[in-house]
Amino acid sequence: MIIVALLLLVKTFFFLRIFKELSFLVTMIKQVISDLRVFMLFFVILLFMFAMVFSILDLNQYVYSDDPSIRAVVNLSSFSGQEYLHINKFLANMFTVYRISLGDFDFGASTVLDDFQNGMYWFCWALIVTVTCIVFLNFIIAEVSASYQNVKDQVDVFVLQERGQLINESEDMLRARFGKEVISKWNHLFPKYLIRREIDN
Amino acid sequence: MNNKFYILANKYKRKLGYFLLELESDLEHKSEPRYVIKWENKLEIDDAALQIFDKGTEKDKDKWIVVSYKSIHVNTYTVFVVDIESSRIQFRHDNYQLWESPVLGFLNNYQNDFIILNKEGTSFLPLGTVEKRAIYNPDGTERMVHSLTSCDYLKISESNLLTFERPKQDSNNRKVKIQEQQTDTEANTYYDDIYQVNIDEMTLRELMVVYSIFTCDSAIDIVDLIELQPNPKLFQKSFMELDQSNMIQIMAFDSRIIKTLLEFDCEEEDDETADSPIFYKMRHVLEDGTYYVSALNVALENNQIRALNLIINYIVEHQNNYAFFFLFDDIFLELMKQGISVTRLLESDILTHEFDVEEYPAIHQDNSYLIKPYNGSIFQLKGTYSQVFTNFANSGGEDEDKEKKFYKIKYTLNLLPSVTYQNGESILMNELMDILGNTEELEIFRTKAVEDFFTYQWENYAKHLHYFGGFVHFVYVILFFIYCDQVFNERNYDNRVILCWLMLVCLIYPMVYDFLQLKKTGLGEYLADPWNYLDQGHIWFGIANVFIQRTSSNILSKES
Repeated sequence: MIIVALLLLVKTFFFLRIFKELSFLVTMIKQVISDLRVFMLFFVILLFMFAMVFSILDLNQYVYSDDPSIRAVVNLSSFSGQEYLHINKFLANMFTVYRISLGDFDFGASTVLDDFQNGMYWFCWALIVTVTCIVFLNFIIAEVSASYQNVKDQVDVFVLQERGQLINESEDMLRARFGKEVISKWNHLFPKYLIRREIDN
Repeated sequence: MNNKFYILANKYKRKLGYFLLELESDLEHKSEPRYVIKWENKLEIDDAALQIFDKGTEKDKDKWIVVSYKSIHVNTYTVFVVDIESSRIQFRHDNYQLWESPVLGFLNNYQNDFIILNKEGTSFLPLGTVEKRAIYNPDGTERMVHSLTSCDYLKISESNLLTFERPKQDSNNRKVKIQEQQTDTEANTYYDDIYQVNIDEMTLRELMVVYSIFTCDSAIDIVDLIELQPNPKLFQKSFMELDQSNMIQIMAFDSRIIKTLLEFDCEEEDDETADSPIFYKMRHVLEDGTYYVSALNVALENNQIRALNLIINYIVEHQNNYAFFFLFDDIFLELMKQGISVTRLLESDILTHEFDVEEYPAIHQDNSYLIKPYNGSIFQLKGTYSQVFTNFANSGGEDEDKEKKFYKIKYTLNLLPSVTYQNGESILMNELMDILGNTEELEIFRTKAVEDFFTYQWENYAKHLHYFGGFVHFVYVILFFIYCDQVFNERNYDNRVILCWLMLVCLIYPMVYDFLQLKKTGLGEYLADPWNYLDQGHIWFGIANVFIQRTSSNILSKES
């Protein structure tokens, strides 16, 4: 049901292309996503690498601690990292890095680390914040702005190109439905020439 | 002939000119005579003759009338050939003939030559289908005679006529005009010029240069030879020896040569050659047959992208006339595929021609912007207004409100759709749309030609199909929302079954749509488009969801 709802969302966006006023936004989203492909790949690599660092630091691994009091943390009604209990641990670390990159900081898990690990944790935290939040997030924002501006400058062109694809699709449908032979004779729909009549300014 | 009489008259209501009339032979049931030609040129004619020329086919209609006469003041002897079936002049040939001197013209059916006898001697015009044949002077010198029909390929449309104008005094250079015969509202005949080719007589020096070019080993040698010439005139001149073509067209197989020739520093413009285009159709005689191609075809065949760009720029700048659209008609898509810039071409008069012809009103009270289809000849726009703008056909009469404002109206012919035509049928539409969809030359979407083309296609069929698809999808979304809200939020299962069935019905349309798309494009091409996976996912996950929701009695834990 969830998959169907998500597919429905994408499909709805595609149907909005048929309206000239909305086609511009759909085109913009497509273009921005397309332009951000490389940045997103870099970002995923960063999340992956820092998640590995957190795995090595044993973050949120209360049950494997030598200290019984730390092992007992999981029995508390609420504790840091509780939200990751039902997902894969590596994925949990990736989400932790992702949240740090967005400025959502939760230092609860670091309090149970030993001194060396704690020192390393703060070093990594500073690195993640600098690279992902300060540098990379701003890169992405700049790229989105540039992409938006690019589309905005040529929006009429993109909209028309999009419309061309829709016309092509319709023509395909007509051919498939009525056959090539029949529709090639419909010269009222596919005329040889067009005559435009307009006010002469 | 064919139970009809043909009469050539010199006066009509005291007006001089030439008038060719067609009368039914059945005089008892005589109808009004039809004017095949009604041309008031204010010239007296004499020594006229009418002959029937059989083209040699079995069809009775395949006959021409050969009309000849001499004219006063202009001192010419005119021979023209009229096709009986279409009532259109095919060829017109003018030669010098002193009015005061007698002349006699007759048809020799053995060789299909029109013989002219006058005080200067005997001359002849080959009218047959044999393109050229050798004749011999009394001293044994061999000469090549080209028939009038050998220039037929210069016509753009079958309705065009070829006029071989009288050469200037002391010159054998002849202008061949490609014209269109028109008829005004009073049935008067007149001729519109389309373009003209100056056929020059080759001098010995020119012959030697041309011969040297043909003996060159490489394009570099040709470029060197061209650069030695004082001006580019020789290469722009058309010669009978080159099958009415010129050297620029022939040498379009190499970009360096074209660049050198088109960028040649031309200090003085020759008035005679200035009016003539450099690029038109030429005859290519190859081992497997004769082809009628242009320099663009030659450059395209040899992948000379730089030459193509140079030629297109030249045509847009110097031959900016819709008549030259025929140069691009069958190669436009190929040019776009090769990544050649066509924006200037789309903006030029070649593809968007603003016209002002009789009957199309220049002012009107209705100021609506309209795009209408037209399937006639681009040279026969006159008299088509009522067919093209059917809703305005009767305006201008009693309905006209004199207090209403009048607007100046202009009409533009868009020739872009015809690039999708092949053998009279629109079969390359997909190809054009695919190329436009993938082009990196986004500027073409700002041209009126493309904009109008898209608007017409969208308004006439595409939007209806997509609006219907959009409506079905909208209904599906609404049903999905109701289902989610009632079943998941409200835990109300009363209408669960009917909602499931309705959602399934809504999925039938996209399923049929994608099936037709798959049928049209083929499996390979269909699967190559990543968006089709999304469509398939949408359909099949949707159907699976409907069945799961319909058949599972315990979707939510609270249901029992």
